Amino acid sequence: MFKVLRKADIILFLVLCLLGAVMTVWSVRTAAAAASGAEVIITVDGEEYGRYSLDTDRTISIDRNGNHNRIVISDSTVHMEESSCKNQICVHQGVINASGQMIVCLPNGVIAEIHASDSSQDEYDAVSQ
Amino acid sequence: MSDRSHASGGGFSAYRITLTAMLAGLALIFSYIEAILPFQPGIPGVKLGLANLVVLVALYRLGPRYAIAVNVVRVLMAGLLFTGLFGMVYSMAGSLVSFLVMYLCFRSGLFSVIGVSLAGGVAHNFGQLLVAAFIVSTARIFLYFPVLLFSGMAAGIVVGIGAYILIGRIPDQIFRR
Repeated sequence: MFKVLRKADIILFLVLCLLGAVMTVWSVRTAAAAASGAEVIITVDGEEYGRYSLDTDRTISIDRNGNHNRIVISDSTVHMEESSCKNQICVHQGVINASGQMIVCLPNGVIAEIHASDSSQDEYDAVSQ
Repeated sequence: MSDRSHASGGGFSAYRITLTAMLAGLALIFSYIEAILPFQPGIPGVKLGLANLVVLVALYRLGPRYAIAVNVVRVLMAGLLFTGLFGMVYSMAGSLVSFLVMYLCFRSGLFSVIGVSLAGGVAHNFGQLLVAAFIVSTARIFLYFPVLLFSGMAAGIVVGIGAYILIGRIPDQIFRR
């Protein structure tokens, strides 16, 4: 009646694996494109909130739209210390330290992304469409 | 596909509506169980999607109309009970994209349950990522796609195997009325 696996399943699996491999290479390259002189760019609801160097330890408190987020930079790593959001995924995500990595707090619309400070980074906006 | 013959056609009978409601309740419980499991992967967006097990069974044994009803009711209820309206938007996007893809794969007749579930798992994550990219208005969130792609595949395969076993074992008289 129906088989456990059919030819189309295997093809789909292989195509997705290939796609995943290509995407992985692309995203690792993009992330590794610039690893030094990085800074954290914080955006709230799509608008830039501020840029902070990874080299200086500091705490950034964001209070927008009645939501609260506290982002901490220490030892060149970034983590979400506190968030008023319900799911707390951003807080549980832990630390990020490489360019291209980001902490996203979707409920509050807050993104903290590590970004190399040199201008070559601007290119991949076009690549990622 | 002998399963499809009695699944489509005819109106909604009270029995089938009740059965659909029960399946939606079951799917809801699965969502809940998944949320309270002590071992969480800890990566945002990565989950098993146990509720899809019920949707797949409904799709194969009751038909697409009932399956989408199970899906939508489950998302609405889970949204109201656990995730809030905001989370509901994500779940709804993910589950509708997922359902559409699963339905098309199912209709094509080319895939087994595992293939359908695999496609659905990936489509679910892709749909959620699209909504996330839209809401936070950055395309760079797609850097995260490989993680979601592979986790969607793994989850899809696991759920697909479960659904394969279930679809074959649930007695026919439950659905045929």
